[in-house]
Amino acid sequence: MARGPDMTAKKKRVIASYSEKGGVGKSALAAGLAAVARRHKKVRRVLAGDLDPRGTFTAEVGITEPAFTMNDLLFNDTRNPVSPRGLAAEALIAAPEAWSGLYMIPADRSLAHRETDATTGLEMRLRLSFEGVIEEDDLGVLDLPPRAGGKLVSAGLVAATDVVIPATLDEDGRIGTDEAMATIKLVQDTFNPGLRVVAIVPSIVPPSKYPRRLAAEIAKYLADTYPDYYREDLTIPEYQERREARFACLPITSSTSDHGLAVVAAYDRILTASLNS
Amino acid sequence: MGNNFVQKGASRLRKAPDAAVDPAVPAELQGGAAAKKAAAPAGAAKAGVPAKATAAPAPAAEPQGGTGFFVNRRVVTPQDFEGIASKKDQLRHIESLLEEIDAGHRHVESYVNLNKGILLEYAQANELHLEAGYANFATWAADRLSIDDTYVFELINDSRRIRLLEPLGAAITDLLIRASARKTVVDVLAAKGPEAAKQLVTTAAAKNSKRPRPTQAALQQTARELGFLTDRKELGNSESALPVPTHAAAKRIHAVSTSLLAKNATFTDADALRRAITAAPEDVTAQLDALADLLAQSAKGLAAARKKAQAAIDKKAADAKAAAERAEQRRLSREAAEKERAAKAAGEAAAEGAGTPGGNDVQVSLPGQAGEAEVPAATFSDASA
Repeated sequence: MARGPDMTAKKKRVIASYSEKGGVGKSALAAGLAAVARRHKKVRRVLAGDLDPRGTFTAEVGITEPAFTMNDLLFNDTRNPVSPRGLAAEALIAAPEAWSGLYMIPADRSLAHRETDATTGLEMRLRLSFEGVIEEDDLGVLDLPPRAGGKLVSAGLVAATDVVIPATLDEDGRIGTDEAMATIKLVQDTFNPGLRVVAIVPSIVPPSKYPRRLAAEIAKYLADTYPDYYREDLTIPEYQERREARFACLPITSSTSDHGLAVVAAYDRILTASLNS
Repeated sequence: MGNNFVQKGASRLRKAPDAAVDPAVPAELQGGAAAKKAAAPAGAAKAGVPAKATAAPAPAAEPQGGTGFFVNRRVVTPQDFEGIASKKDQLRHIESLLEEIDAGHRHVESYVNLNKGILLEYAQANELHLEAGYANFATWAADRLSIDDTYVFELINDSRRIRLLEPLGAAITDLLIRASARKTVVDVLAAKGPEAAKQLVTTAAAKNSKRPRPTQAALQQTARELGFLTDRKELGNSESALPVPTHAAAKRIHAVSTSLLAKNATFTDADALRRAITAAPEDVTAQLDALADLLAQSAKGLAAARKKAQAAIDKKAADAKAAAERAEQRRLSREAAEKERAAKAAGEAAAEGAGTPGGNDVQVSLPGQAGEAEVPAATFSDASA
């Protein structure tokens, strides 16, 4: 099969946060990675894309009423087609000051229309739109919707070079991971053979010396099933600072509390693991 | 960043046509919100996006002027002459527009009456005047339009006439721009049918080439000459049967009335009857007897129906009167209560003032207090004596 443009070249990275279950911390992970990447030495610019019509990531960054959205970027007028190559440059908007250094293609509810859009090449459109836009030392971060495949998930996984799967240590985390891994394989077998799974990271894990039995069971299952990917050392702890940051539309890096710093440290570790993979 | 393209107005990216449509909201509820959202880029500055971004084409907005009666009315502008180079063509264009506007102007009254009448009819049928606090429909309508009560029904009748004449075609209705003229033609229409009405208008119009739109007098004269309306009293007599009611049952009665009216006109045509009696007297007599029986039977039913209808009207009037009396009684009770409260409050204030040395200088005079009580009752007796 013919391969698309070389987005997997050294230092051009687009990390997708993906699970097929909702509520496992996908948007939180995307926002966390974007927040820490802005101040990472190896990252020049952070370019984010929200592929979830609910726009959780967009709202967290504090973008309202944008000129263009992901829906506009993915839409292709078949009567007057516009080549998507490099088009992301026109859809990216500067995030508010608190998120300085971040540029984003936001999402709104209209993006759901693209799930039923049968236009040829929709899956490739986001990837092609990044051409010439994402440069060396830039980092792309994509927040994918919790779906079993579909156009938006496909567009995100085709545009991504790396995937991080957040997994809560419960049944949702397990199912979301299993199904995400199956979809990723489908994409690897077709559109994007170079797509890599960086890690399956335990997400929203309550800090406790005595983990609950179910959490231990799920952790064991993930570790046994995906020994190459499950990374307990990249666990994202559950602290209220994370929810507060989201509520205030601030990056988690704004937090100076011990708990906030612990969350930031977790995202830093995941980012480093991604950049070094 | 990429927004430089947008700032320069050179964006290749366009708004998706469904960008303003929330897929989770039913289509019929999308309208206003979608239009508002379509204009959203104006607010994009909130997110650091330059105002230039609004250059992106937005889906069609609501028509200018909202949903008003005269929405989308056109006004001539200098743009009307764009692309017309020669003065000769410009003159031709102006003359054409003037002619069109002038023709429209002549029909403005018909247009206005037609629509006013339809609105009034609806308001009357649904008793909407009660919502405005009026017990009488005509009073409400007269107040709204600043016209006389009696003209309200004339307006409604003219609107009905315009609708009755519409099937005759534009060539005829264009000649009937006055309400009075329409009245005469509708009389003939009811009595003799549409062909006779057309003939009346075209004949009257042809008589005076200088004034192609015949007046009521000219139409009445022509109608008599053509034998359509032999008795002067017939002119205007059809009015009571012609108004088109809104209720289905009333419409059926109206249809019967119209039919009888047409038959009656034929029956009372003296020349035709004389010819028929001469040709076949037995036949005519038999038919007249049958008709008399039918009318007698109908008259009985009609009398009963009228009695019932009148009873309903009387009851409605009595109910309205009772409701008005109740409302008046409530108003009087409220006023009395308010007066009582005011008196009590003033009494308390006066008592406080009296207990304070050098206190309130304001003298309050109230019924039952010293000021009024000083007027002796005998004064009135004396005066009347």
